[in-house]
Amino acid sequence: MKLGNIKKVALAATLSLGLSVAAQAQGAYAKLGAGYQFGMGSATVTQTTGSQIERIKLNYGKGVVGNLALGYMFNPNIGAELGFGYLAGAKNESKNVYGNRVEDDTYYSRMLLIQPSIVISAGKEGLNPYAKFGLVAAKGKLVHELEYTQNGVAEMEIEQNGGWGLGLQGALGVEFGLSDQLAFFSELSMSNLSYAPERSEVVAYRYNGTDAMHYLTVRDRETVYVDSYVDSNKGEAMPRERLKENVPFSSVGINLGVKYNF
Amino acid sequence: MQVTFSVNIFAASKFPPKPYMRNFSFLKLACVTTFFFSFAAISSEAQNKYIKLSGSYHLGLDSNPANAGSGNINSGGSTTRNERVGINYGKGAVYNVALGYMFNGNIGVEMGLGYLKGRKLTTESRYYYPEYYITETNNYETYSRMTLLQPAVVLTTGSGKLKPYAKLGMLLAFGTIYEKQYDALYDLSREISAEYSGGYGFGFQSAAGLTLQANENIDFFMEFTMHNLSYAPEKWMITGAKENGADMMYKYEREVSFSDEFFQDYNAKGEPTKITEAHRIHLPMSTVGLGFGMKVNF
Repeated sequence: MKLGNIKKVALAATLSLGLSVAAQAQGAYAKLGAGYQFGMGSATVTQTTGSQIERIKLNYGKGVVGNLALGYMFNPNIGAELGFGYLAGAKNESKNVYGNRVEDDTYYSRMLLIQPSIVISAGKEGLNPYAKFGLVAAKGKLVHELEYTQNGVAEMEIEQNGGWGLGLQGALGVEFGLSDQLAFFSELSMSNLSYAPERSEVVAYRYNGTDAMHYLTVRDRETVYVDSYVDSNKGEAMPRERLKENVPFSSVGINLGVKYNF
Repeated sequence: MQVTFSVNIFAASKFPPKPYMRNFSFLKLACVTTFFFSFAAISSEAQNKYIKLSGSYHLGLDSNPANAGSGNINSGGSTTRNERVGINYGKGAVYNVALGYMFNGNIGVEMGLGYLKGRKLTTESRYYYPEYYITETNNYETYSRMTLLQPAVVLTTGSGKLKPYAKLGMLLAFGTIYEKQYDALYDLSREISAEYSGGYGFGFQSAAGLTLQANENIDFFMEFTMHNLSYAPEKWMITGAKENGADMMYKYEREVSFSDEFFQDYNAKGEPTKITEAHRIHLPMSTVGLGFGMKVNF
């Protein structure tokens, strides 16, 4: 029993000492993590069922995000980080019923994120709080899938892309040092991103399962978004012009991952 | 923090505690103490209360598009130019006072109270009717007046005269958004004033800044702030309507309530019979700003 007690004490001492061994506070590091972002958007779509009109929130920034970041701490407290992420946007769905016509809409995004930021760290061993503040740039596409049923089934897929989304991001997190090189991290992040696509294109159109893209003119298929345009009939062979609109991408979320110090 | 063992080692023994068992209690205490002091660096520094006064200017990050148009209108066809104007109600000056408390040299909390004096945003459209030699003008202006509540967690490096810091927290906004539409065509004019009110804006805020110590009690600071915010009003209400200078409030539906779900009746032509409800809207107020201020420690 004496030996068993000592083993328990030794285990407790090792754990307490192990937790106080921090990842090094200076130098280069790499982080790998993933998380989920909740939308903070300001756009809505209506969902109509007869005379009942319902509001459906629309935010392309919500969904799963995977991240890889490279960073460098200039001293125990200040550093810089460059993050690369991929947003697999969650689907926003609505259903409209007008008499015998039923329309199902699905909206989602697929975006690559680039996130340079400044890191402010407490520089503590063991449990080390930190904060980040920086820019976020996004490039990718927005997808709108539409299916409406009325004396047949029509399916359409529209992609919006072009241009860059720009915004700011911040985070507050904690690192749990496991060894000199390795640490876990958990952070609450916030992204204030706005994206205005430059073009829209119908990429698929089927009626009762048969391809029907050839029925669409260029004007039906393509739309160009601009800051200003002259409203005149340019014919069916030219894309339609519309004013640019900002699409909500802002989000707040939680990220978890590991950090490796070189 | 306290460490407790899940097994009562004394309960397993049939014999009373021996001297080495009493030593084990000391070792247990030593482990607990070691564990506790492994976090000592986080909690060993002096606590500190402070008050901050600051002013900042914010630029919009997202916006609702408004159209500023111009051109000629003919009965046989028209050529008009449409220009996008971004409307963001968070743009403008923010005046802040904040109370803060540092638990130690690195971590603290802050509660900010701010006033947003939103910048007046305008659009103007002009259309010329060459067949009648008249011009139609449509002018629109809007601005916000909001009170902001800003609780936040503060992280600072805790040493030196020049200290970087960062904040992350929530943002609540209460207030009103005002708008005015003025239309004129030949000898006719119409002016309608309205406001969005009720409800609240909810979002998050973060900031990164630098503090410069002037003396033991006073610091000056500069910070970049990001507001991630949208405002969902409860109602839109016409507060004034004039045609050719005469009051015409009786002609207009005065109030529209916003909700997540409502029922709309239609007449035989498929037109809504009465518009007093609409689905809830979120007005964009996300911004980035630069601010300066003074901090008094006590």
